[in-house]
Amino acid sequence: MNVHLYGVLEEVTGHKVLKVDDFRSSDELTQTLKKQIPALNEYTFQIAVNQEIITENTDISSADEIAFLPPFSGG
Amino acid sequence: MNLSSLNQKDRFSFVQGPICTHRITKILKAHQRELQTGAHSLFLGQVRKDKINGKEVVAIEYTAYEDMVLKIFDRIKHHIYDVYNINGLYVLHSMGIVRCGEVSLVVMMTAEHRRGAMDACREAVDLIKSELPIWGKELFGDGDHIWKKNT
Repeated sequence: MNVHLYGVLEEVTGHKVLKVDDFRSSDELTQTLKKQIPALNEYTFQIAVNQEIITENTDISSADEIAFLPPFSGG
Repeated sequence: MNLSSLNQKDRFSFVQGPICTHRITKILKAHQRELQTGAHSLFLGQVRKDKINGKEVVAIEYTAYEDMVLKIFDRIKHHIYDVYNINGLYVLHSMGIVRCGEVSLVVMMTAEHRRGAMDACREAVDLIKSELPIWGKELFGDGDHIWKKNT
């Protein structure tokens, strides 16, 4: 599955898109990625599944569009 | 020139680089033909020469999760139309580099009366800044940068 990274997360990981193994839940995905990429632990971010912010652990599949979003700062 | 030729009404428009005053003038001019409008409320966001840790910001570089911006903006637009009595809504936001003193955000509301236009504009600006996945990177003259934080 693909995880899209934006803002400072793209910068610190050096990746716009991370190709990762398929995970079945958003918690499983973030816990694993935080272990693999320690820099992710230093930043706060929200997770969007199919362009909707999730606020609790959510079932995901490879068909979903997943993105990690640092705090917004438009305008 | 009429409103349909502008094609920006009720839409979120990404603009590459700064938003020039000519574009804003065009929107205003087109409204001279919209005779049901009695009030415009216009907000312009301009890049400020902030001093951070002793260094001056020279520009902001904007990036966005564009598809999600459009999706969430659609929700904001419906909310604004539901709550306020407005005739039209215009939002332009820069992408890429915008230097200090240049405009990076335009939000304009048109309505029959001033109260609707002004209240809607204020809430729309707040929601645009808090809900849309857009990021600003503040660039310093020495090549360093810091990720902008909205207050």
